[in-house]
Amino acid sequence: MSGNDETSQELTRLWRITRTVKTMCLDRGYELTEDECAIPLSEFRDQVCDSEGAPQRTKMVFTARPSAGMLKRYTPLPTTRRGTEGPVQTTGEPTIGTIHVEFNPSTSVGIKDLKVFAQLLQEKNYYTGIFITQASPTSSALKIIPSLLPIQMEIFKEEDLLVNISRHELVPKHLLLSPEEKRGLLERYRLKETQLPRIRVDDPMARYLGLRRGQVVKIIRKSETAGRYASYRWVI
Amino acid sequence: MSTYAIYGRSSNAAGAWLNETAGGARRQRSQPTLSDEQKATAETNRKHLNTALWHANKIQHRKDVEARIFGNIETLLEFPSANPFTSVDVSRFTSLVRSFQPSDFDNLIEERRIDGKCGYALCSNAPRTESLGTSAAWKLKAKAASDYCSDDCTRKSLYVKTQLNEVPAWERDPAQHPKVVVHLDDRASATRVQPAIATRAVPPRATQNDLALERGDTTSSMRPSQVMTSTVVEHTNTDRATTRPPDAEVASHTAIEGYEPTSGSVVMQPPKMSSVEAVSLEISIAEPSTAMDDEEADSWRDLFSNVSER
Ligand SMILES: [Zn+2]
Repeated sequence: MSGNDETSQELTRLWRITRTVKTMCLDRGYELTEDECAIPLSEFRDQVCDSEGAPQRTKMVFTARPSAGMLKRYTPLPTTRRGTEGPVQTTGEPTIGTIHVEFNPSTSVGIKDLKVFAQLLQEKNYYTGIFITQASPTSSALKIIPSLLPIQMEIFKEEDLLVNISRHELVPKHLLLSPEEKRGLLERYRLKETQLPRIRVDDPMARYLGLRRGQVVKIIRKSETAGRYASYRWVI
Repeated sequence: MSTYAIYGRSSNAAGAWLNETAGGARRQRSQPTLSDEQKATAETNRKHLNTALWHANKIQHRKDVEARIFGNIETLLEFPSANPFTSVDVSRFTSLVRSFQPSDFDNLIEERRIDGKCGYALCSNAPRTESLGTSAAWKLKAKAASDYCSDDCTRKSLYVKTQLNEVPAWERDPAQHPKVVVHLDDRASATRVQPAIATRAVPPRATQNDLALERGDTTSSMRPSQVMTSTVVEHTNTDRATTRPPDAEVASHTAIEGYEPTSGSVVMQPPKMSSVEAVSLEISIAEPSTAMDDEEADSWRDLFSNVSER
């Protein structure tokens, strides 16, 4: 009996983690439905358990495409350069694409595990990869991540996803500004981005939204005296 | 390797920025009519640029070295090439870990364990975590022991680790990389006498260059390895003739407070050598006469040079 209890505990745990991860992707702007994010436990069990009833992390893998709104928020401002026949405007490609989420079944994560995952991202041409692990990867393994750019690899630990921090009542709403909105903000207040307050790229909410250095995030707080008020932070 | 690519890319960006700044400074200087104020500004800019370059180079050097160490860990993950290991494995192993700090060595052991290999890079067995399961660490009392297949490998691995230099590789002179040797059991012929103490790297000494670097005088990317060093020199043969104490037998009217000025034209009686001979502090130790390879010979030499210094 205790074996079954453990299995069902593990199943519930993975179910909560999946809901957090899918909601996180939806919040970032990927195409997912509310229903997918709020999948009932019974349905989740049918999807990921083997014939013995044990949940299989390898069956929890999923991919999602960015929505039109997300693509726009990730499209750089058009740049003007001097051509032979007057100024030429070039619109940049969106710096976002399909996201691939994988749950690592092993209890320790080293260089090789991340290399295998990185290779998959490269082969399948995924823009972002989220690797969810049971233990923190080794310090050497983490050094691979910056070498993969422009592919974005993010690592989350299972235990950090049991609860969705963005839904905590003390966590204000964070919204990523598009390059255009960012420019508008800086022009309106005659600011340089360096004059904005800052948020670290490894801040839990910055990680939740997959923010990158140089972006600006709008933070909306509720206040008893002032109603809602917004502040802005520059990601460093 | 992809790792190097990113390091390279980031450095190019920094380089481009610096080049632009440099161009700006040049253009300013090339204008014929410059006020003193402008000249001073240009001079300040140039100084700032040099400082920025110096730091950029330093950071770049560190990144290059870190990338190389990372590559070495990756290479050693695939060791040994055969079971049992070859002599090529031994020499590659010892040369790849020379630039490691002990912490890099720990990283290698961890990566190998995760990959299901004994932490000792010359061993093809599985670590005890594989055979004993997750409770291996508890059963073996020492957590580190579970990273290896046996106590033998634990010992041999530690033997190599103790030879590594704590100074980060990017702060070392090339000469500061220790000569690493594997445990006697793993050397090609294990018939030699075991040295009394393990060979260690000769402690680094600060050169004039190091000191200049510490002041920031040069643009080299190296950091001073170690500034506080003392060099004690024993004077073995002191010239006693000039420092002889007053002696009634040889004292003459030209002597001043017992000492003869050397420039005088007065022909002096040569000072008698005192019965006390200069003491030689040299200790002679017979070197082993067995034929040995270069690496081995070097390690012996290091060992003996250490002994005679003390
Ligand atoms: Zn072993």
